[in-house]
Amino acid sequence: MKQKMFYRRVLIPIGIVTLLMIVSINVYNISPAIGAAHPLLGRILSTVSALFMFISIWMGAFIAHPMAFRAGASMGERVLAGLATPLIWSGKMVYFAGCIYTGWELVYWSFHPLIVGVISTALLNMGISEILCRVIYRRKGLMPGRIFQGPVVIMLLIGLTIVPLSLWNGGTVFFYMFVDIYMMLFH
Amino acid sequence: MSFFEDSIFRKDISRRELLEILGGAAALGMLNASIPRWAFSESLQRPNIIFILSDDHRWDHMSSMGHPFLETPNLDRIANEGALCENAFVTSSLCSPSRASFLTGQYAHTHGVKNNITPWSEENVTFLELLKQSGYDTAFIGKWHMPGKELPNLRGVDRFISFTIQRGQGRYFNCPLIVDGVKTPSRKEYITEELTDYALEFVREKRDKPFCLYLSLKAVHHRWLPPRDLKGTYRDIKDLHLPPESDNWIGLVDNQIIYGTFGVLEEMYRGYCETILAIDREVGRVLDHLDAAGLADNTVVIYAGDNGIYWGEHRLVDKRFAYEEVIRVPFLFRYPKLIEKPGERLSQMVLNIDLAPTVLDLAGIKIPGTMQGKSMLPLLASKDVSWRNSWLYEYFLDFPYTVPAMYALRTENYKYIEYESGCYSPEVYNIASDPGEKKNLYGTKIAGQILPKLQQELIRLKRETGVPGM
Repeated sequence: MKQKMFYRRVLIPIGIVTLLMIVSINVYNISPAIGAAHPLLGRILSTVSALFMFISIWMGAFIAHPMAFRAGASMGERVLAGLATPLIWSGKMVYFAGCIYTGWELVYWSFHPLIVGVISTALLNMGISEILCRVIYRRKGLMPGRIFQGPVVIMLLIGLTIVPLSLWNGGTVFFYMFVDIYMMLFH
Repeated sequence: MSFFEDSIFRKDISRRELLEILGGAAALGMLNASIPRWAFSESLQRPNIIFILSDDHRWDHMSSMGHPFLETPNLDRIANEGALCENAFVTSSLCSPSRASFLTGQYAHTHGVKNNITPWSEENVTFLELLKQSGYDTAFIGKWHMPGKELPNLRGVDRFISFTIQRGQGRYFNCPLIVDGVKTPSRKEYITEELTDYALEFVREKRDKPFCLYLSLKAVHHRWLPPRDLKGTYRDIKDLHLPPESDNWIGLVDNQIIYGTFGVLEEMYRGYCETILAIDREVGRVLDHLDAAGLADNTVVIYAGDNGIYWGEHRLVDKRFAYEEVIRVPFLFRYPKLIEKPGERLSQMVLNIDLAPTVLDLAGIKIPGTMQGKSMLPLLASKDVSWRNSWLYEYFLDFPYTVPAMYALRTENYKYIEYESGCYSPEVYNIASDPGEKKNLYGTKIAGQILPKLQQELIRLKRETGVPGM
């Protein structure tokens, strides 16, 4: 598989999914103002932008990872591309939390179930995407080697363990666990 | 002298008559010195008290408050046969602090349950304890949900029925209970019906004392699940009258997702309204039983919510911030002996901390100086009394939620909010001209004129109520 330039391997996949996230967030944020004058248009904009927000943040790995894979990115570069939007979004969450919490509390807050959830979802998506890409490229004879390599298995294991835990009982089990550990550490 | 002694008590029996009865009783050797003076005669007159507390029920979600489609005939009945407080508030818009305030008559910074983490102190004195000491049969049935031990050793209750599952939040269907300390499987599938069943069992008990029932519902808290027969009642309502700044995905974006509002907002809102229907139906069962048992005239029925909820107003879900949607609550009273103008709407600002002193006043019990609320009896009896024209709102950090700690002042016309985080600017609203709090006046010329007075008043209230560091 031919390896393309760094910007094609990494920057473009990350840029596309990040741009999608930024545009959709901003469209979503202005949709109420538009909706005040044109309710139907506001509703359409909020729904479409919310959908793209969800895709770019929670499913962004399915966009960025295959693009990076096709451009011949290394495993590390592919992981970076797949984690880009979840990490940016998590960074934004931690930044806002920094207005409320400081020091070790903020460090602990960074392990919020949502942040752990979005990153583990990205890992799961990348694991799936990696397998699909490998299957397709092997069929085309472009990529020798095993499909289930170590990093793929690790991504799948993390995703398949944490994602169901995050969703268990509507997310309450993981959330309460997070709060209980906080109580033990800080109270 | 409490208001009860001053007016109600005198309607039924004069002091001279009371002394004659007590004297006669003593002469017959019936009077034990340790028995309070009302024990032989007044207990028959003292009202039974039923307090029903719901969870996250907004003040405007009753048909009597003009909701566009929600029908709450039984809650309306309490309002129509009694009084509805149109300006009822909670001093902290969060379940645990607010519930502790209802029980103790104190602010969160006094009773100590500041959020869902700081524990309930066993030293807190509830109005149930004081009622018990003065001869009432008492029961706490339903949601406790306060930090600390799973369930406390709650003094002053004959029956204590609650649940600890889901960290005390309980669940809507098949919720196991702790009945007087014993783990007990659910008897009814739906939690509101289950708790009402236990409540009615307590009311039906044969007794020669007055009783006080504290029925604390799980509904209408998140996940807003109605009973099966009411699910879908509002399926065909197209215009839900949600605020224009809201949209279906608001609960899923940014920090809002922390509140667990997974799903389409309109569907969740339908569930919310249908869950309120179930509350209304169970309130109806309680009222019907009081009628059938001949208890209605001598039973005070009070209904309130522990805080409101946002359905997209201010682009928010959940509660906590000091806007009207979540600090205002339903507060209804029915007591035919006291309320001379049934259907009256009271406009004075009453608070959750007023419940405990009001109940004690109803029972003719001296209100402890530690209680920070005021008895509402004079208002309910349509007496011309001076009343508060401002009050203090407080919210404390509640990990891991990203709502800053804040204090706020609410007057009849204005609201001033100051946050304990540099990221948030103070806010000033003219509630009278801008009830939706859309236009923050902070930094404007208008606010410049009123702001010093509001800040001064906030400081005064903090000092008066004993906010630490003031």
